[in-house]
Amino acid sequence: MAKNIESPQSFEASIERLNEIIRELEAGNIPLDDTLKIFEEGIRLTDACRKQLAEAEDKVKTLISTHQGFEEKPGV
Amino acid sequence: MNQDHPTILTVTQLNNQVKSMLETRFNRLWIEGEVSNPKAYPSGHVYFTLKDAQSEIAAVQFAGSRSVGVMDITHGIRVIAYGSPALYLRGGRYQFIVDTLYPAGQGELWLAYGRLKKRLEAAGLFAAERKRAIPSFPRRIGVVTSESGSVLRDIIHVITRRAPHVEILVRPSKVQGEGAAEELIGGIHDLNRYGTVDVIILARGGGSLEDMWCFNDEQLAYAIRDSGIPVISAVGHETDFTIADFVADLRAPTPSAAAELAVPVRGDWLQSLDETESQMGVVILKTIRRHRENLDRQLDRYAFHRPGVIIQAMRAHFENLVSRFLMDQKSQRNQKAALIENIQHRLLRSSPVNDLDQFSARVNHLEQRLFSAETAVLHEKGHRIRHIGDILSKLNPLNILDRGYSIVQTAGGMIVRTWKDTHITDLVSVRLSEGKLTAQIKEISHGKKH
Repeated sequence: MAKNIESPQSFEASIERLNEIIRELEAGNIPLDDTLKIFEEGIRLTDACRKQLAEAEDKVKTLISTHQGFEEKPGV
Repeated sequence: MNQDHPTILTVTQLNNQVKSMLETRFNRLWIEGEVSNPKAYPSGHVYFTLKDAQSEIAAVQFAGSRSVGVMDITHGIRVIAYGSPALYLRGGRYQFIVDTLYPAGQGELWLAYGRLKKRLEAAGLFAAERKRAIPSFPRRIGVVTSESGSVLRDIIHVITRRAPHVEILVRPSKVQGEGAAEELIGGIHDLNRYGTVDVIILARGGGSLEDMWCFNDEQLAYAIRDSGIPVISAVGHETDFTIADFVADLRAPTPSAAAELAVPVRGDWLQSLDETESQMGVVILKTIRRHRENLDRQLDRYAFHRPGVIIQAMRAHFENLVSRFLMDQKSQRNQKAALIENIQHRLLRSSPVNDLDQFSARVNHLEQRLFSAETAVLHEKGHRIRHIGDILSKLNPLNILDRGYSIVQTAGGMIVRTWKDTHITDLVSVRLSEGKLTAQIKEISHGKKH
């Protein structure tokens, strides 16, 4: 599986948490400071998710196997 | 039976005997020929003529019978047909009932294909329950295919268009000819050992049966099954089925389709994130407004009577509250400022994302709220401090003066709250919203606190 720091699981988990946050905020029965905390968490999550959707810079790489192991070279 | 007393058969009897002979003697055989004048009926049956240089025979392929490797029964193609001849009593004509149709010259290959498929199927390699799910949010896609040619180009194009955030790791491999199967297997092994990819696309463009033969390799089938990473196969055209397609976790009709199946559309996710953020923004602005209104109400009720104490208490309370939101630690503050600036920036963008009408509507809605008098402070630079400043300024006694009230102080600077704080002939200073008066007490009445 992917060894990215931000794994696909965390993206999906973030989306799930965001939906939960919306529900909590819209229910509106939380004290102000908790509301603000949840809001902040939501903003942080949407930002983290956006980061995961940021355009890849070296989009295409080629896997080369060498004597030492594997190597990635940019492009095809 | 002799010339004098011939046995006279009915037509039916003759046809019946020929039919019986024919169908017993020529049951299940292979014939090779060229297809001529095929006619497909809505029922799915296809009638055609099989011929060679000297002769021809009527043939039929009934709906539901198999056709392996023959896309369409078209005029002029050479085929090998497996089946049996049959005679129809009514017309007295016979025709060849095709059981399976193979492209000519490849009958042996297809037989091998059929045997391998049967074996692997029995071994459970095609079972739906052993297939892995394709991840819904892959970050990196491994592609095992030829590095030259349009297949890789198409895949890169589709992934770039749909999901520019997804990376592609190409593991080049031969896709036809000697050693191709071994390279394909090596590709799957390498990507598994190297890791970093969430899904593997195994692809090849269209070609002849021989060209695609490497995808009908038993070892490749096991390599696909044993892959720890889900495999999407896309070999040839939609009508081509290889063993690899049956074993793969997902079979795509074409390489481009494989790319589409592998990655989600980034725009959809971005839109959904924008909507989520707008929703949160609307709720939070509502909440802040509600609390400000509450504060104002309290101020109106109490501030005039006991400004000093109340203002101190409320100021402390409110400062405490907002500081927890906005001013914890320096680093966090910057981070939060950036976050809030960020959301505002996005919310205030005039044309956020093309053709996302729904999003635009939400943003406009939010923008209106942000620009409304109540929340205008939120969108200015230094908004946080201004916002707090605004609220605190409402608590400043001097602002109360603007509303027509004044503050009376004794010569010693003490605020005159009740009649007891002053005496006849005392000089007092009266603070107005603009300027200051000095006045002398002429009369005192012991009014009640209201």
